[in-house]
Amino acid sequence: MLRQEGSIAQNIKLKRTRDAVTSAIQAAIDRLTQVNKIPDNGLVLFCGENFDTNEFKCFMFSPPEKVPIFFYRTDKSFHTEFLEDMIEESDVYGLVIVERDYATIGILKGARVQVLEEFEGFVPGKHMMGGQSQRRIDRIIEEMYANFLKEVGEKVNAFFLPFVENKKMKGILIGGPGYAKKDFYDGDYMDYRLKKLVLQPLFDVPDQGDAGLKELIMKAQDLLKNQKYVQVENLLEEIKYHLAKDDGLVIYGIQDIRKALQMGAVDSLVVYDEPGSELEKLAQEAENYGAKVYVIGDELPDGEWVKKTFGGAIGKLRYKVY
Amino acid sequence: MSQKPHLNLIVIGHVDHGKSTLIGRLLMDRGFIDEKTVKEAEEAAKKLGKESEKYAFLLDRLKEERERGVTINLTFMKFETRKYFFTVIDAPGHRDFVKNMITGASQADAAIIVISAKKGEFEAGMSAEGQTREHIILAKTMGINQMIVAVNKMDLTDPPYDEKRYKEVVDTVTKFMKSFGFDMSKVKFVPVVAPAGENVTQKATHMPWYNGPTLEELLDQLEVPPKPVDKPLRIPIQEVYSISGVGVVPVGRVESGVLKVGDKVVFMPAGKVGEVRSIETHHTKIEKAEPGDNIGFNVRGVEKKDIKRGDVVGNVQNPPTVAEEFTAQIIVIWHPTAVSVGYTPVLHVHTASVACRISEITSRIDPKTGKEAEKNPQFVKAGDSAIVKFTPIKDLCVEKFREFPALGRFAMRDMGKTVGVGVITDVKPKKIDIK
Ligand SMILES: Nc1nc2c(ncn2[C@@H]2O[C@H](COP(=O)(O)OP(=O)(O)OP(=O)(O)O)[C@@H](O)[C@H]2O)c(=O)[nH]1
Ligand SMILES: [Mg+2]
Repeated sequence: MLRQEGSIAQNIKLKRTRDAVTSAIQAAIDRLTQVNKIPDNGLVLFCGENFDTNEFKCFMFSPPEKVPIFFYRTDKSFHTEFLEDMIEESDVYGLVIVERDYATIGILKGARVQVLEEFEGFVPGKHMMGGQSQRRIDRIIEEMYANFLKEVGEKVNAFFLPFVENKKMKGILIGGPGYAKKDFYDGDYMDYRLKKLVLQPLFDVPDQGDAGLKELIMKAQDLLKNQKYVQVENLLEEIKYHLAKDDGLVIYGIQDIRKALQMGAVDSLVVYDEPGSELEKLAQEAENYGAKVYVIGDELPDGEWVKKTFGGAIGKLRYKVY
Repeated sequence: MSQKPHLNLIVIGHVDHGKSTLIGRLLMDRGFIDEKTVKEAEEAAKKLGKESEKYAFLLDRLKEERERGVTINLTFMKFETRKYFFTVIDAPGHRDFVKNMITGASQADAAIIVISAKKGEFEAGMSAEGQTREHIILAKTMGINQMIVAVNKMDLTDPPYDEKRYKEVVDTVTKFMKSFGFDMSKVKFVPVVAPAGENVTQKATHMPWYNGPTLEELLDQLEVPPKPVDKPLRIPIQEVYSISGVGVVPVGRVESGVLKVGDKVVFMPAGKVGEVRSIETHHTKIEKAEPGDNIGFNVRGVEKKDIKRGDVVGNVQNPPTVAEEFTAQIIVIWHPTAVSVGYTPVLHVHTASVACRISEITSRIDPKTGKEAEKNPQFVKAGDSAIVKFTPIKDLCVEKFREFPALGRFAMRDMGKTVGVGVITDVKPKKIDIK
């Protein structure tokens, strides 16, 4: 099949794209010919060149769970969506932020917060109006508002019901500025199965988008104590607090952390995710010493800070070590 | 439209301190609200058993606002004094709607801050979480220097109309504003009772100890800011209407340059070009708009989906800058722990609010000398000033403060609070195709 694709690729007009696709297909064929038996969980193969960095990458592996489908695609990016579920923690929380004319729908899985959709409703404000038809216009505005809430409900249903059906949805958080969230919850805009999952109270959240979702989670942290996102964020906030106070309760640098571990002084440790590195070893050691270890990547706002500023590992101490 | 000079005035302050009531009263006293609207507001207030709120109902027209007794959206109204033609923007005081207040403040030349003198209410507004405090900071950040402080609810002080309480409020607010760099010669105070109209357009009958000007007289002491007509055109968009039979009508305030009917303009970050077919302000058609004008303008060649709040309109020859990354000097005014690389607050610049990630903290600045105190610090905390680089999470139009002040200053907010303010010193532009 790949050979056939290879000859189709000869028809691509842009030379650069044609070359990239052809070499990706050839690389895939080369790798496949080395495999004599398909593993039980199936086989996954990604090949391609990144035009920005001119890097050519090819990955072949057998995933931790059975690959559910046969899928072949030539595209701008790697299609990992079928695999994501395998590495995801299965608990999912639905997130909704709704106000009069704007809404964000998202999910929280483990340490990942994801915006599914952010959209605006065309509910006009007040200032273009006045005069004769004032009341009529006010009524129309209220109607548009109700229609917008309906649209939000429909989208929430479409996004969240599949999670309910495969029993992954643990709860739904609703937030937003002012009263629209209450109107949304009270009105019958959501499917009854989703409504049952809504956690109380509804939260006051002034922002939308990614920032709004993160605020919603942090405001609901008491309900989400066991979520990795909340735990790591709280730990990092605590670390920053001690850093700002400069009270010696924070430790970084692989050498210093190792020393503190040996003294049994490390309470918890945040390590940047870098497979095969010294950091990975450190995380393993820390676990052996009984410290709470959180491995984080760039999905958290502070991932980059931990990596760049502290060489990828920073911990909170039980007591001052020097 | 009136030949008098035009000023944009925003009314700000903590929730329920009486902003809408004060403006409702002022406009009604001077006959700027038609009879029908007044009747309708009175009836609606009666029906909800809230007769005392009839003045606020003149501005709070949404069902949600009336039932809950709070302002949510900005209301724009016009009125005239002896000297000026005003567009007055009634802002919400509720903490959840601070972003709407910022949008309004970014379009204003002057502000009335309404502060309740009632025991407990004044203190709530000035507390660390209070919006009297936060709005003062944000108004200054958005470039408002002229301010009228209306000390309201003087009938509810203990004892009523207490001069001592008034002085206490004035002193506390003066101290706070000074610490934020206000030139106090441009800040004026007046004690008022909004529903009774005391010191609004008429001298108070219950406060003989006050001999100063009324609120209306203070409005005539405001000054018109200079108009940067020679600079390239910049209009941050506040709202977009799509009117059937007419087309797309973006609404916003001209910050610099001149807009004329027939001009070819570009909407950034979309890069879409359109032709201006008509310009109107307060339902009056005009041929050209200048800095300070609040306008709606009809454009041919663009669609509703190409434009949204926070976009900026400019000339095709000199389009607004979309930032790949920008450098700013910030002051952290409130943060429980520390601000570090990766921190992603929501930045409010002109009418836009976009989350921006701090990608580098270049240096910490000594507030006394203005010189670098530490290079590449691990973090900065409340009270610190720093030079940082921001990467916007979504396309965002900003400019250097030096070139376009209104598009180069911002407030940083996170978790519903203002964590800092800043000015933009440099912008690395992103390439956008103009189509
Ligand atoms: N006694 C007395 N009541 C007042 C005065 N000013 C306002 N009020 C009342 O205070 C309440 C709030 O007034 P509003 O004008 O809605 O306050 P606001 O500042 O516009 O509130 P938001 O827009 O929601 O922030 C209403 O019930 C008013 O009638 C005053 O001077 N004296
Ligand atoms: Mg109000």
